[in-house]
This record gives sequence, C-alpha cells and structure tokens, in this order.
Amino acid sequence: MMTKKPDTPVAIPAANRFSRAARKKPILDPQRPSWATLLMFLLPAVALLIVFRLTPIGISIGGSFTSQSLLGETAFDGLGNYKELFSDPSFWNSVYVTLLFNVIINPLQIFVAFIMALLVFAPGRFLTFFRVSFFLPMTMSTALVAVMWNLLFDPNLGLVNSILAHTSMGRQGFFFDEDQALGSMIWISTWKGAGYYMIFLLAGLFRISEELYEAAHVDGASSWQQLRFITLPQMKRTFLFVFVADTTVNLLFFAPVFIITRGGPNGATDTLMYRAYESSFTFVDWGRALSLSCILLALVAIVACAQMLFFKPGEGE
Amino acid sequence: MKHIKHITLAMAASMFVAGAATADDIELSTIGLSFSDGALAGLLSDAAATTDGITVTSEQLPFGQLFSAIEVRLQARNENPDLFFVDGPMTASYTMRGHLTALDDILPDASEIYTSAALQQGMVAGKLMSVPIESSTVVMLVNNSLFEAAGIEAPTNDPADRWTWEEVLAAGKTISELDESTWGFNFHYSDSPYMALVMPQSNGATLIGEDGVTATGYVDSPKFVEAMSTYAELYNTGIAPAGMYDYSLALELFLNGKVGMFAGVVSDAIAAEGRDGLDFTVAPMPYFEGGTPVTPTGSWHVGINPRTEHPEEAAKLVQALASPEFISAYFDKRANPPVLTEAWDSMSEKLDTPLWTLARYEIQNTAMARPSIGGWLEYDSILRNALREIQSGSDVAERLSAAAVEMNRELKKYAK
Amino acid sequence: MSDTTRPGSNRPILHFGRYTLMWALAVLALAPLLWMFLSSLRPTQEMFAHASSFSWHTIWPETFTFQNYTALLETGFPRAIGNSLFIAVVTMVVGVFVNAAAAFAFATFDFRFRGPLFLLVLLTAMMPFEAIVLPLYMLVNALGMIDSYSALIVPELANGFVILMFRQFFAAIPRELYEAGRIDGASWLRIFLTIALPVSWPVILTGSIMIFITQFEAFFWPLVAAPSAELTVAQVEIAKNISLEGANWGQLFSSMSIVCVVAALPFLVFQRFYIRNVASSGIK
Repeated sequence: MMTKKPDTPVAIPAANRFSRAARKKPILDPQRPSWATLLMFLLPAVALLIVFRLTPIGISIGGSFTSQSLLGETAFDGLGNYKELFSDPSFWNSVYVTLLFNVIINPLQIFVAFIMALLVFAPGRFLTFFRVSFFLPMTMSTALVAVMWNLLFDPNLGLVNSILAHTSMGRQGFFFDEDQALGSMIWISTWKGAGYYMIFLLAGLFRISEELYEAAHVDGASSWQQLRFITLPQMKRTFLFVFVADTTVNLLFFAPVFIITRGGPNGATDTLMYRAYESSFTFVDWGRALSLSCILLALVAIVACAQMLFFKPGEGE
Repeated sequence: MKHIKHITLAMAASMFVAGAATADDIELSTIGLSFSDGALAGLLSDAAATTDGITVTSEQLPFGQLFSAIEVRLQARNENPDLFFVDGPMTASYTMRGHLTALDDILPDASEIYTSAALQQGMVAGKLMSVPIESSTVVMLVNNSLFEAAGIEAPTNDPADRWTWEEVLAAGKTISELDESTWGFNFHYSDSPYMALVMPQSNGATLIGEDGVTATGYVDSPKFVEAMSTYAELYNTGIAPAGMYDYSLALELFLNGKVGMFAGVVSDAIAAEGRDGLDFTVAPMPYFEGGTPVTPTGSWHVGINPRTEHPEEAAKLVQALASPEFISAYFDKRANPPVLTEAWDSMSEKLDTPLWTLARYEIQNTAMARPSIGGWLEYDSILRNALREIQSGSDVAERLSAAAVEMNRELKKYAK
Repeated sequence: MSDTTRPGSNRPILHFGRYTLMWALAVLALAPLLWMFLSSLRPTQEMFAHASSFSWHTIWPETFTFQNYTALLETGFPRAIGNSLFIAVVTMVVGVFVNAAAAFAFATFDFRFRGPLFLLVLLTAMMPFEAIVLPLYMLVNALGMIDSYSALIVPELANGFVILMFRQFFAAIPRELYEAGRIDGASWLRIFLTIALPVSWPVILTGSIMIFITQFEAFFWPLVAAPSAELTVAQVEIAKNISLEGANWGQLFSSMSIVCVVAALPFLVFQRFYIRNVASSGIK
C-alpha cells in the first residue's frame, strides 16, 4: 500500500516556494477562514483542554495562594506559601539540583537522540532491528525503569556491581553515593528517553527535501557541510519541539527520585518536583505543594519561551 | 484460547454476581491493599455476606501507591470511599484531619477482644478510630550455617536468652569477616523507623514530646543518639550492608544465605521456609544491656469515612470484620499475627510452631507501637532520610538534631 | 547516483563506523532488558542466587522455566493488558484527529488571539500532573465519569505537546499546496483530510506513537480514576508484584517483558514507513 512514493511537501523543490503561484494574490484569503471553520478545527481539542487541564490548573494556581487547615478549610494566604519557600535554604538546593540536572541532561539526551536518528535514517541493513532496539527502553514506564536500574545498580546484588567488582573500579554506590547519584539519574533517564526523541527527529529528517542534498552534492559539499548547512537548519522546527518537550519532562523529573533516593543522599537528587510531591503526599501541605508546582510551571514556561526565541525559523525556512 | 475463554467466563460471572444483588442491597465502596492476587475482594465480600443487605466493591492498590491514592480520595472530601485501609500509626493523622469516624459504639467490647498492641494503634485520645485486622511483629532470623562457619553458638528462640546488641555486634563482626559477600546482621526495612526505632525505645529514649509536635530534646536526646550510634556502627563497620533500601532485595540477600542475623517480619520467616538449603531458626529481637526488650509492632486497620452515605451499613461491615471467622479467613490468605486475642487459641493448630510461639510472646510482652501522633507520616519520612544518611556515615548526633528541627517545622500544623 | 555524502553514507569507513556505533548503542539499550527477560525465565529460588559474585549464571539462567509466564494467566494481568491496549488505541485514533485538527488551525489560519491561545495550549502540558490530580479527580467525579473507560480516555485525548509537534510540521507545509484545493472550492475540512494529512503521514504516525506510549505508561491517573478490578491497567497490575513483604520477581519480570513488547508494537509497525524508498530517493 505504500509502494507509491509518498507525496510529501518536501518533495516540492525548494524553488517552487517562490514560484508564480505563491506570489500571486490568492483568490480567496486562505488565512482567514470563517468562524465556523475555525471552531470546527479548534473546538474539540481546545474544549477538552479547557475542561480537563486549564480548569484544574486554574484551581491549583488559586490554591497556591491559600492555606488549608487540618480539617480542609481553606483561607486566602496571599504570597504566604511562596514567602515561606523562598526563605527555606533546602528549596534553593532543590532549584540548584533541578537546574543542574537539566543543564546536563537536555543537551545530552537530544544529542544522543539526534545521533541515533542520523544513524538509522539513511538506508542500510538491519535498520528495523536497530530502531526497535533504540526505542525499546521507552516502552517501560519511568517508575519501572527506576525499579529495574535500582536492581541493576544495587551495591550487593546488582548485576552492574557484580561485574564492576571484578574490575579495578570495584563496587560503586551509584544512587547512594552523593557524587554519583545525580549522574546515575541522568544515565537512567537518558537510557529511557533518547530513543523516544529519536522518533521525532527521524520524522524531521524525513521531511527534508532530498533535492536539497542532491543540489549540495552537485556543488561538492562534504557530509559535514551538508549536516551544517542543510540538515541542522531544516531541523529547527523539530528541534524546537524536541527541546520543549524534553525540557518539560526533565524539569518535572521525580518518579525515580521518589522510588530510589527520596531526594538523597544529602539532598543530591532533591528535585523541585520531588519536593512538591513530598509536600502533598507526605507532609500533606497542599498550599506548599501547589506553590512549588506553580513555580515549576513558570520555570517550564519561561524556558520554553526562551527555546522558541532561540529556534525561531529564519527567513525562508 | 482456553485462557481467553476463562477470562470471558470470569468477566461474565462477575457481572452476574454484581447483577445478583437485589435492588435493596447497599453497596459499600472500600479501598484496601492488594495482596495474593486480589484476595481482599473475596474476603470482604464474604464478610459482607454475613450481614443483611450489604455488598462490597473493593479497590485494591499496590502498597507503594496506597497512601497517595487514598490521600487524593480523602482530600476530595466526598462520600467515597465508605471504608478504607488505615496503616495503624496513620490513625491519628486521619482523625485530626477529619477522615475517620469514632467506632466505640459499634464495637463496645473492642478492649476485650483485640490484642492490646493492635488496639492501641487504633485509639486516638481514648477513642477507637480504626479497627485492626492484622498485626505484625519482628523476629530475628538466624542463619545457622553462617554461625557454624564462624564457630559461634547461635542465639536460641527463648526470650529468656535474648541477645543484647553488644552480642549481636560481636558475632556479626565475625560473620561479616567470613567472606567478602557475607554480612553479620541486617534489618529487613533498614531505613524504616518501624524497625530502627526499637533501638532507642529499648535504650529508654522517648520518641516525641507529650504534645506530639516537639521533636527537639527527644529525637536528639542522649539516649536516642546513643542507641542510634549502635545502628551507625552496624552499617559503618561492615557488619550490616549499607544502602539496601530495596526491601525485596534486602530479603533476597538473607534468603540467599548471605546474612547471619536478619530482623524480619513473620512473613519473612515463611518465605525463608520455602527456600531449599537455607538452615535458619528464629530468635527474639536483641535489646540494650540495662534497657528493656522492645519489639516493633504494626497493624493494618479499617476505618469509616465520616462522610459516608451509609453509616449504618458501614458499621455492620466493621462488626463483621471483627469476627473470628473473618480474621481466620484473612490469616489463611496473609499469615500475619492475628489481632483477636481469642484467635491465638482458636487457631492454635496453625500457630503451634516455634515461630508463632515467639511471635505470640513478643506481641503479648514486648511489642511497642509507634507514637500515636498526627504527624506520623512526616516524622517517619524525615527520620527515614536521617537513617539513610547515618548508614552512609553522617554524624549521628548532628544528623538527628537536624532531623528534629525539620520535624518541629512539619509537625507544627498539628499543634493544638 | 552511486554515492551520496549524506550523513551515514555507504563509504566503507563511514559504513564501518556507523555500524559499530549502532551496535554499541543497541547493546547499551538492550542489555538491561535482556537481563530482565532472562531473569523472567528463572525460577524464584534462583532469581538472585548468583548475583553477589559474577559468574556465567549471573546472566544466563541455570534452569529455564516458563512458569512466570503461565502464572500470569491466573492473575488480572491478561485483562489489564487488554484494558491498556484498548485505552491506548482508542485515545490514539481519536486523539490524532483532535490534536492534528487543532494544530492545523494554529499552523495555517490567521485569527485573533492565535498566539495567546497557543501558549495556553502549551501551558496545559507543562503543569505537573500531580498538582492537578486532585481538582481533576473532583471534576471527573462531578461529570459522573469516575471508574469507567471514559475517565481514562476522554481527559487524555487532547494533548498540548502533541498539538505542538503537529503544528511544527504543518507549519512547514507550503501554503501553495492548499491553494489548488481552495480554487476548486474545497472546504478546509476537505483540504485538511485530503491534502494536509496525507502529506504529513510520517508525522501522523509519530504523533500516534506519542499518544499511544503516553497512555500505555499512565499510572497514577488510572490508579485514582478507575479503581475497579475490571478497569485495572497493565502498569498498575505490574506494580502489585512489589509489596512491603517482598517482590514477586518472576511475575514482575515476566509482566514487564510482555508490556515492553506490546508497547513497542505500534513503533515496530510504523517505523518501516520512515525508510526512504531507495529507488525514488536516488540512493544507489
């Protein structure tokens, strides 16, 4: 059923973009559809999001400005929750841990994902095997990934340590060593996530026009030049999505922390999201939990906006 | 295909059963712990069947998510669930937050029928707020082969010959030096206050102030610190394996014959019986020389949501859960120490083993429940982090006083 | 064309480097899963018997057994896998249209408040789920959807990130492509269905995988929103193998292995469409 070459937009030679048809004034104004048309396209998704996401988010943002008594009566507390957080040194440790984690993991994960995508994009043998191998870790939920790596890294019964015991390195603490804990978290998260972001990058590579490469080839451009001047610029939109999605996931990282380290050792893995979870379900302090969540929301939104500015498609892209 | 047919039949059967309830039946919703592949549903349905006109829907959650899922339901503060599982020490917290109904009128004879260790955990300010359905106690599982290899005489199961922690340290040291992969001692839940708190308790320390919200002066008291220094010694000198916070793996280490003495719950002993080639016996928990013998105890309870629309039916179900029939049926699915005093005699054919004899002795004589305070979850969580850091070498006194400060802060909200 | 200098071309050195790197990455990705799978074939007794010091049997089971798989049939797991698949597939099929339609509007149309509205859509995907679980639970309860498949499907149909992803790709489609259709008087719906979607199929497949995986992995929400035993999803059923008393390793590993394979199925099917048609792309 896919024997015919797919009629992708990218198959249109780049030159077509500036063809006569494009410059000619459109007969109908394609960009301003009727309200009915607009509603038809937008309403299902937007209505669902308003009901099941924006409403709860609004309630939670409101809740961050309240304090709750033991019996559940809420009272307006202004910025009380926020003030309390900002004066807590362990909150600032969490900010530091969260940012450090993200500064390392996002470029790393996307770099690995991009390498994977390039490797399995070009035709070759056994590609299905390699693609599925890279993707397979993603099929495990984050919680189960944490359970599995906790077993593998266990100091006494873990496979990794039983191998390391035979090397000059000896057994390592991994999650329970203050210097290795965050690195171990970065490792398991990259192990799981790289193959996932690969699929978006693969789709992005796919839509780059083959003609662009052919033209470059005729001009004698090297592989590196093609990557630098065709692939990377053409991938901007895909990269934007991948960066925004990946950064969000990693700013909200917490399940392995909850399952394995509980923020330790000595605060080394105490991410903001873990702190928010702990505040709601252990310390039953919903005001603090919600204000932490709102701070995270703001952080994610700011970072996403910065990424959008950075990846803004330039002229002609 | 056969199995698919099976499932379809089971589905059809469950629909039929649900449909079989007469229109007058009141359906009670419950949230409980998942075990033995959903055994709880059957147990609760059977208990409901002994009453008139009640059926039960049971939601069974994995242990790891039980508390957070219950928390979401309770925070919604609506009529669901009608009844829910309460971990013994959480009773005070739920009570203070208005999530439990007093049960004194429903079970006026509670103080006579339940073992005091279990009953105590359901009491808040003199009122019965949750009823126990199973309890726990801790014994020391002894690997005889390791003791033999080390040439040391193993502790016996006679409470009169209870070892002191000093003896445990000495024997543990020798066993841990047998081989790179052997350990002298371990707690099954090594970072859990449930187990570790017996050390300060045995040393005569008080765990929390009278007001239930002051930790400073208690958690960092000299007696507490002294007891926890022994805990630190266990984990910092290679007698016990530090950093085994995956409880299943910690048990596995003992089951594979790598641990000389293992402080575990009764079900650990039952798991050990199933392992070929593991020569083990049970001994009582150690105590501090000059202190008192103390064993940890805990219990699972059931409580009634005060917002239930069916208080009378919920009360009837609670009464059914206090019956010897339910407790005995429950024991068959989950062999933990029964909570009815009477059951220890009526079930004696099942409980006449060295393990259960010791368990009974400890529950009757040395069991000490965790403090009944509103902020137990906070206390537990903060102390747990401190225990982990003590295992990895933090200064005991400093770490405990930091934990006390953190507890003061989090417990403040429960002050009267 | 016999030689293309695209990244990962078929020159011998590059070819060798490429395959070495692919094998290395594949080993890293697969080794832990292979360990899990091999462990699922061990009897309980043996699970960690060779774990403290490394030997051949630390990796390769001494005795092979399928008992951990057959035992699953007696549990709620088969039903839970069915539930997870049903929920994920329905969400995927409906969700692709819902999200693609909105993304198409954001990418193609010019309307008032487009920017702010799009930001709001993105924002919905940025709030930690644990922070909205309580109000969402109360809302879904008020709508009478609690404890039903719809509680697990309907709130998850629209997804801000899926919309963002689709929009990124739709925005790259040259507008001229729609023009012919407009001139012929085709409606926007028709253009969307007959022009925009067909030219975007790699992206549609990617979005489908994204929705499928997200739903298949869901854990906390199903736990809260669909308590009945008949509605239990695979992830929750797996978690039941870990208890305070000890883990049921055998069934934990066997159920994890099965879920891994099942969750990979859509990708396995869809990924073959990402291979450029060799004849048409001018390579070789």
